[in-house]
Amino acid sequence: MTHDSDRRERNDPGPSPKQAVSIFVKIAWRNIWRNPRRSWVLITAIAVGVFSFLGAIAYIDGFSIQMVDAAVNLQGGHLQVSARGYHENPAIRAYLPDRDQVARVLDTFSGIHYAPQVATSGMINSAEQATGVVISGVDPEREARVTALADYIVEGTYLSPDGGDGAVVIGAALADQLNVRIGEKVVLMASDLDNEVGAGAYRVAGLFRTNSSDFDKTNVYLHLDAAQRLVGYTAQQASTVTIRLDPGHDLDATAARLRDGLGGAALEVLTWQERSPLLVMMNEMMGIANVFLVVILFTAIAFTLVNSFIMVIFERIREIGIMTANGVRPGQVRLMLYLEAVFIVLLGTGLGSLLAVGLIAYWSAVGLDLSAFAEGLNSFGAASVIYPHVDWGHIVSGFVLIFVMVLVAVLYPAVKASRFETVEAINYV
Amino acid sequence: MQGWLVSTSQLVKVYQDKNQVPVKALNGVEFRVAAGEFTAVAGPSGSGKTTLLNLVGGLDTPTAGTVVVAGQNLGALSRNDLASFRLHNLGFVFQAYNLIPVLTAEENAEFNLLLRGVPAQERHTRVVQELEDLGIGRELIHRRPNELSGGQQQRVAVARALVSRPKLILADEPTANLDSQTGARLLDKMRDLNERTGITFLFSTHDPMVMERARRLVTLRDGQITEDERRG
Repeated sequence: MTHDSDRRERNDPGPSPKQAVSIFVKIAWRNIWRNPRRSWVLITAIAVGVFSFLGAIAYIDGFSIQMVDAAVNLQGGHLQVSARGYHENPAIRAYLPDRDQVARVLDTFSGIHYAPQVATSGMINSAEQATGVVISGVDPEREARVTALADYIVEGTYLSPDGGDGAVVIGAALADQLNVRIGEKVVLMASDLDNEVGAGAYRVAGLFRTNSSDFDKTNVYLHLDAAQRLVGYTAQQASTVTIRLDPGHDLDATAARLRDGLGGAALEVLTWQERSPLLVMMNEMMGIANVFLVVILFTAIAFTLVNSFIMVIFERIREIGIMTANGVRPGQVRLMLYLEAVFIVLLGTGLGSLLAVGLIAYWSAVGLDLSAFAEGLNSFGAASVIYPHVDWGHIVSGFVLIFVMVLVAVLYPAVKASRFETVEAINYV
Repeated sequence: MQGWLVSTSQLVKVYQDKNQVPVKALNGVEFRVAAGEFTAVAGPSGSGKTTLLNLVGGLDTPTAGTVVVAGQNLGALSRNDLASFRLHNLGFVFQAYNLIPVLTAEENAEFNLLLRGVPAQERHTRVVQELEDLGIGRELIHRRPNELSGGQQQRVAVARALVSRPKLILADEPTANLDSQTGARLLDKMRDLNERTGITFLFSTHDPMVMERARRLVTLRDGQITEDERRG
């Protein structure tokens, strides 16, 4: 009996690509479960690799972000205007002579926030202890728009806007060290412009706790005018003007415009990267470490797959021979093997991602406590507690890379399988 | 060569055995098969009958000579084109059933049809009918090969070869692993199909049951045709 499809084929002998692919999808999927133990070993290996990759990337990215946040949010904003040479040698004599002049230029920019600061090294004394600190005078209202210090107050209050209360805020860790509480007095001492030692008594108004215990122990904040009096500055003089940009601003372009606007050789405008080259280098090194991590992990996965697929092919030589005898083309043999590899990678990636998401979600909430390494971390401005961060660009890049590596890894076994001589394959024992 | 479904000319095939000694499996064979024949190629082990079928089926390449099937010189085809030619023109039944282990009986039987783009409903109808004709009922069509007996597996393999109604079916020792009753039934079915549809059958065998049913018996010995007997 002649069927309609036979008659159609005389005019159009090409097979339907979708139908042909569907049978190989079916065969590939079922082939995975012919040897469940081997498949689960492969899937688990991939899952462990993906889990490690996602976890490590999230922590490295979180670590990097915390370091940058510390540099920007606590230690100088996106940009900083200062006297030339201040950054290399932050002496009190390297001051901005006219902060209003800087403010006038800054007021012509949109989407930026700025705050003047007076900063000097000094001593803090309580009734029981004394220690060296960085004394920073700030305009509380402006400062709150530029740095995140006000958000870190955990006890008491931040500095009030009017500035007339002789208040100081110190780190909670410093308060513990000095054994002082809210409302108690401390004495701040610093050298002034006349090389005399200036001193003042201040009431502890608030305690802050940031992610860096090192920062908390070494910084105190008081009103701008109080700090100016302490070091002998006039009302117009300041150490720096710190600038924060709204999201979407180009940092380098803004810095260039600001340099043009301020003009002159007496002032310099530095980005946070220029102020913290070590931090920039660390970020770059972590980025390189990311790449090495990904390549090493996925290369291991790829070799595992190659090994397994070579075994798979030798187990199925006869079967492949029968398929080619029945009209399966070499490209379709390769397709079938690639599909099998893709399914395994999808399962492994899915499982590894699921585990990683759970772990990252948990650690995002509670943080990973690395107090054992606190000293080293704090020196880079990083907290002792690290919160992972999901950067989808990094994650998608990693997934793309693993698929590319898998396809490259399976290329040799797939090509080998597609080149078997049919008669030899059918008779293979 | 005009008018023949299969035609070989000076066909030579030389293998190397495991000691790298060349063995001439076919030695200048001139062989013709017309459309509609039910032909058995018989001979002792090592006579070259399986080699001849493999070359006619495009599963192997000759050392010398030509093979023309359905007007196509197989030596002129690329691997892709050869696979496509087999898909659309040939059917194979092997001694060892050779079903795809992860596919069910129905899926194995419809394999060629699916590769050829036959719609699903038509595939199902044809395959189920073919399997039932061969004694594989609906209760068995969803079983995988390891859940079928040897005879059932061979019938599925025959269904796979038949259902696409190829011009030529090549069957290499199809009854070797079957009991005589099953083998006889299968051969009768094939013979009946040959008579009804005109599909050409070419067997490689040393089974008397096959030889006695063949309308033409070709004997090979030492790589050459020694007898060519046409019957009825």
